[in-house]
Amino acid sequence: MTRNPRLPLVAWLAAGIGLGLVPAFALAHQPSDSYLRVDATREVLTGAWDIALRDLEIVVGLDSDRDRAITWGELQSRRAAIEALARARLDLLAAGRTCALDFNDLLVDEHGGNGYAVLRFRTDCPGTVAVTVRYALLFDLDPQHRGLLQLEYPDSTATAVFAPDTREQRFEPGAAGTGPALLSYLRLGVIHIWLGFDHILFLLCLLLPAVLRRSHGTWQPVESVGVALWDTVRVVTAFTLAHSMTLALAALEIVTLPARLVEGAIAASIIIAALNNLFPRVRQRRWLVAFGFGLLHGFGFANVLRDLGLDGGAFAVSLLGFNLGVEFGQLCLVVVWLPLSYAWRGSAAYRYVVLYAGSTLIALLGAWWLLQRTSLNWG
Amino acid sequence: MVCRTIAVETSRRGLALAACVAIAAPADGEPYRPHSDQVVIERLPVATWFSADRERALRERLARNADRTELAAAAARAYLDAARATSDPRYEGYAQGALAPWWDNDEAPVEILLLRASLRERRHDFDGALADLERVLARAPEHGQAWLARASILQVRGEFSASLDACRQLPVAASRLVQAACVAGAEGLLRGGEQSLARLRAALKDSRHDDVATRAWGEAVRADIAMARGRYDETEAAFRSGLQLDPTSTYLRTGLVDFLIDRGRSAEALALVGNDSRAVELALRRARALPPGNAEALRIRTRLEEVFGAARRRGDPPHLRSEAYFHLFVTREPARALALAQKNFAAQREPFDVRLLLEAALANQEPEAAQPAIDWLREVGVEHVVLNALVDRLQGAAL
Repeated sequence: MTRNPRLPLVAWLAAGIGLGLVPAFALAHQPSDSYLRVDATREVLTGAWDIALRDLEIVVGLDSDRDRAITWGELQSRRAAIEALARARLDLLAAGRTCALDFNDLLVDEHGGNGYAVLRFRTDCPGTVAVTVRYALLFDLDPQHRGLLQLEYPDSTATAVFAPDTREQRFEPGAAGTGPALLSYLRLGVIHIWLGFDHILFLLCLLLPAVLRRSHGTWQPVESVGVALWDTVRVVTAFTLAHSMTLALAALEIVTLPARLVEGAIAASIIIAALNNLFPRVRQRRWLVAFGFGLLHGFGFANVLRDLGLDGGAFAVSLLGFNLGVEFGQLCLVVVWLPLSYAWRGSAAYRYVVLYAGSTLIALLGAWWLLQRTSLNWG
Repeated sequence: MVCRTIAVETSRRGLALAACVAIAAPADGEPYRPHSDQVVIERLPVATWFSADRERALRERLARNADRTELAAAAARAYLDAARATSDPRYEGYAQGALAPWWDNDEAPVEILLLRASLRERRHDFDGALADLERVLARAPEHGQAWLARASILQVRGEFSASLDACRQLPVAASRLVQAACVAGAEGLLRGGEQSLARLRAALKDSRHDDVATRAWGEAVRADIAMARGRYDETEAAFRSGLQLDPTSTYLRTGLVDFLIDRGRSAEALALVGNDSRAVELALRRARALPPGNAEALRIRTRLEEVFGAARRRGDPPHLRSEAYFHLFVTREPARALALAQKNFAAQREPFDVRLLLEAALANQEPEAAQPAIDWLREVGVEHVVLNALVDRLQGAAL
């Protein structure tokens, strides 16, 4: 290597490096982003693509009079070129084919202090199905350009970033980005256990006698809260473990049982648990009952999850979220019920109204469900 | 954030579940149709760096000859200059675009690797930048630019003795100022720093033959070392000389603004920041220096939050130093500032970064949080008046 004749550049480079260590982004100027919104909530796939006017200026040229200002008139006069660019750099695929993009409107918007052209579009593809997006705007000129996507399905929203090394991404209904997926499935789990009366009733049946003990053929209140607590913990834990296991097994399709059979068996489990309160056969080992039938209930949860369209990339997250939601919902019930029932345990009302009458009602309800679930859809 | 309520039906029971899904919608207004063709919808930056015509010509030549090394390197250099002068990150993107044919190629020509190192360093990918410089030096062991770049990055990381070794490798042909500034950057904060400062001072006096950029850089180094040694008059003089040489330098302007704020001269600091709102660093100082309820300060604050949020949304590396400063002095959220300052300190250790961590620890009244910085300062032997004072306060607080 000979002596560098351009030595002033030596210091220039160092000056650049030393002085350039100030983070390189500006208040009025941001790196290049485009915003792509795709609406897959209806019968037809539609959307809007916001592309920065500065970026369009470089690629297709907008400033025809070279006065460094882009007017609405100048933008409109380049509409055909802009739409051609958009068609060339964006592909949407759904229902097994590439969607034709019909740009039906051009508007203006502002993001981050910069002006954007808004290209509204319709397609000939259906909504609510899986969509593949292929994005290639500007990467050849500016590898730091990013496409920011927001894709809406009826029950979820996916967000994604397109960069030179992630130009093609696929999205499915119900498989949102991990943030919303975990939380929304958590909520669904909680809601399902609260509104899914059968699971709650089963658990409640097993918990009703937790604050009582059997003595000389009658129910007596337990002496200490520790006893009641320990009993509750055993039952709830056994139930939780069992249904978590089978939920996972069924969701992963390692074990599958017919839904009708499962639903019927769950109804039967409620009857059995309720009857056990009226004619106590199993007392200290109710946790075993909880475990055994908990296995069944797990299959029931899996059916719900399947109905919600759980599949694809966010599977593990959704499963985890749903299961956590179910546990949390259960916990809420237990935390509310245990102090109440403990305080109430000594009264005759608890034995007669809650335990006997309540269990009878539950048994009847279970019987009704059993009938309904096994006799419908016959043939 | 728009919270939309969506009813989901479970098919088996027909129960309506309400799931609130947070949808990240662009926070700006709705799209609209301007009422007249004459409405201006965007002002393109007035390209002071190169005219629009020159930029277009450059781009066209590049498109036709994408794999010609000299052309690509010239284009990348021009875009990098523009990025530095305007603080506009799109120019960095264009520079990277010009280097695209070689971006993943470690056998690229030396000029390309040097520019790639520069781009990586700007994105705080110091490891990547140093790796590229090593590749250059493996092929061209006497490449002065590469040694100087290496020395600079090592100084940012606080690896002073490695940086000094790199300075010693500069070719004999490098000017006295370049040598003195490099060595001062490596040694000036340590014991014996006075001599480096004296040598740099002398070299600056004798620097008629160096170009403007070099002299401005020399003044920047002098300002930093003088401040470390408590020579405040010299600090101010150096910043001002530097700014006279290179008025576009964000580094020098920011340095002087910080210095003035330290000395309690906020009015002068505000005047110096002026209305230039392009660089985040200056916007931060402006927001800090304005009185708390001030409408403009609130506008700047909102804008900065947008900028940081956008960077996160894009998946860009976080701007730890700026965000830590933002939360410490603008939004006054010391806990967030401390977390960011700690992460920042792990990546870079200029006096500014160390100071940010020490001040954040003080603001949280958590002296232990600053212990990594205190230990490092002692281990390396840094002598810095401001940093030492902060350490004393922290250790006094811990007692």
